[in-house]
Amino acid sequence: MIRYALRRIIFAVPVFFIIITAVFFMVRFVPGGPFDRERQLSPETLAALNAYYGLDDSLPVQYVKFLKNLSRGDLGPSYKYQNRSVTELVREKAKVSLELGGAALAIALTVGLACGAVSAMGRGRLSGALDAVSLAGICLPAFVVGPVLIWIFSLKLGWFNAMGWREARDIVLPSVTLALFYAAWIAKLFKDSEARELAKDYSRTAIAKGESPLRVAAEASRAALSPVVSYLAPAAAGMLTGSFVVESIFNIPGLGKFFISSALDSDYTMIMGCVMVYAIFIICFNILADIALALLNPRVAKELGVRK
Amino acid sequence: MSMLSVENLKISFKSGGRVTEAVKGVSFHVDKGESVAIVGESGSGKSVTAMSLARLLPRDGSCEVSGRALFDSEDIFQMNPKELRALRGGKIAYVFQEPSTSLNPVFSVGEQIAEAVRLHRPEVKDVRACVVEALEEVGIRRAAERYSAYPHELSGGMQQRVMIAMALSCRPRLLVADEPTTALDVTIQKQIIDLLREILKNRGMSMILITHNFGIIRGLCSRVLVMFRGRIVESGPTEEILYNPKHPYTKALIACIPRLGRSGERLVSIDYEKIDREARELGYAY
Ligand SMILES: Nc1ncnc2c1ncn2[C@@H]1O[C@H](COP(=O)(O)OP(=O)(O)OP(=O)(O)O)[C@@H](O)[C@H]1O
Ligand SMILES: [Mg+2]
Repeated sequence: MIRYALRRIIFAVPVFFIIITAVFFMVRFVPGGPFDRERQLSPETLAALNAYYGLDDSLPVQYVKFLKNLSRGDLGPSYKYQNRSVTELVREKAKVSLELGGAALAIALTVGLACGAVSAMGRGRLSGALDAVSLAGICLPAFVVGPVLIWIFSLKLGWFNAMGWREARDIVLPSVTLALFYAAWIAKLFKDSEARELAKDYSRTAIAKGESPLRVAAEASRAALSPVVSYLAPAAAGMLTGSFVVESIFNIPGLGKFFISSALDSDYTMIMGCVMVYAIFIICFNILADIALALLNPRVAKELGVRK
Repeated sequence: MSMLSVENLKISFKSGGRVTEAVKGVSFHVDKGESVAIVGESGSGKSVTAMSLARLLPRDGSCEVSGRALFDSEDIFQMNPKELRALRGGKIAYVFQEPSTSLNPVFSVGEQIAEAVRLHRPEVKDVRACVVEALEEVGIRRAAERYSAYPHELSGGMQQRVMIAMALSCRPRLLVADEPTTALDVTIQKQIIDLLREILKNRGMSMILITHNFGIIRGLCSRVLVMFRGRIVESGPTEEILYNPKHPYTKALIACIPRLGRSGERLVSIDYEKIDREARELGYAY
C-alpha cells in the first residue's frame, strides 16, 4: 500500500510540471498584459514596470527564472497587489477557502451519505421524498440558495451576518450553500449504487444468513461507496480550493474569487500560484481516491497492483 | 408431526396492476433427516416456494403469500423479524444457483462464513477455527489459506463449496438447495452432488433440493414433488415416480432425461396441449 502510494506520488511530479508549464505559457499567449488596465501609463513607465518584473525577457528566460524561484518556494511578486508576494497572498486566501471548503465537505459527506442510505433502505414515500429533495439540491444553483439563506437566516431571523468573514459563525451560511449541491449529488450517487447492491444476489444471501437489515446495508455499502469515492476526488478539490460564486455572494476573501480576478487581471504570477494549489489538490485527491477504492474493493486493488 | 409442513401455500406477484399467481395452493411436508426434491420446469414456482420458507420474497408489497408453513409447529409466516432472523441461517439455510454472484465480492470468503457463525453460534470462541473446519468439511484443501481468499479468486465449484460451508456452519435443521449445480460444469456438478449426499448422511439434516433435472436426484432424495404451473401435480418416493410416473407432465419430464451411452442427447420438446388433454382425461383438476 505504501509502495503504491509512493509510486503514484513519483508519477504525479512530472504531471504537475506539465500542468504548470502549460499554464505558464498559455497565460502569456493570451492577449493583454498585467498593466493594461492601469490608466494612463506612459510608455516609459510601462517599459520600466516590465523591466522591473522581468517581463521584457524572452519567454524561455522567464520560464527558467520562474522554475529557479519556484525551487526556493518563491512564486514572485504580485503585479496587482504591490509589495505582496504571491506565496504570502495565496497562503492567506487558501486558508480561508480551506476552512470554508472543509466545513462544506464535512456537511456534504454526512448529509449526503445519511440521506442516500436512508433513501436506499427505506421504501415508498420517505424514499421518494428524499429523492425529490436531492434532485432539487442538484438543480438549485448557489446564487439562488445563498441569497435565500441570507434572506431567511440573517435578514428575517437575524442569526447570522449577511456577509463577511470576521466571526466564527460567518462560516455557517456559505458552507451550507457550498455543500448543498455536493450533498445532493452524493446522496443521489450513494442511493442509486446502494439500491443496486441491495438488489444483488449477495444481499439476498446476507438476508438468508439471518443478518439484520442494517448489517445487510452496511455490507452492501462497501461496494456501493466506490462511485461516491470516485466523485469525491474532484468534488473535494473543488470545494477546498474555493468557489467563485459562494465567495462572491458572501463577500469572502477566498481563493476562488481571487483566481478569477487574477486571470482577468493577467496577474501571471498570481495565476500560477492559484493553478498550483488547484493542481496539487486535484492530484492528491485522485491518489487518495484510488487508494480508498483499492481498500474498498480487493479486485480494484489487484488491478492497480496494490499489495497489502 | 413433520419438521416442516406447508399447507395451501399461495404466492402471487403484483406488477403494474397485473397479478401473477406463481404458486396456486401447494401442500407438502419434510420430515427430520429426509431429503425431498422439487422438480419442474422453468417458471413452475419452485424457487418462490423455497424462498417463501424463510420469507426471502420481496417485502415491498409486490408479493403476497398466504397459507401456512409450520416449522416445528411454529408458523413461519407469523414470525416477527427477530424470530425470522434466528430462523434464517440458523434453522433453514440456503444454497443458491449462482455461486459467483451469491457471495459478496468485497469480503473474503472466510469473513462471510464467520459472520454467519457469529450470528447463530455466539458460544463459539474461536470463530476462525470454526470457519476453517467448515471449509475443510466441504472438501476445500488448504482451508486456512483460503479463509482470506476473495470470491473472484476461486473457481465456480469452489465458490459453491464455500456457499455450502456457509450454510452448514450454523448447523441448520433444513438445507434448501436451489439448483445448486446448474451453473457448474458437469464434472463439478457430480462432485457437489456427492458432497451433499455425504453431508446429509453424516449430519442427519433435512434437505429440499430444487432442480429441473431428474437425473441428479436418484440416490440423493428419497421423495420427489413434481411442480407444474404453480401446483404439485405428483409426489411420491423417487424410484416410484421415476419408474411409474402417473401424471402426463411427469412422464414428459422423465422422457427428457438424457441417457448415458446414447449417441447425442435426445432433446424432447414437451407437448403441452397433449399433456393438458391427457391430464383432463385422467381427471386431474387445474
Ligand atoms: N420477484 C418477482 N416478481 C414477479 N414475478 C416473479 C418474481 N419472482 C418470480 N416470479 C414469477 O413467479 C413464477 C415462478 O418463478 P420461480 O422462480 O419460482 O420459477 P422456477 O420454478 O424456480 O424456475 P427456474 O427453473 O427457472 O428457476 C414465474 O412465472 C416468475 O415470473
Ligand atoms: Mg428457480
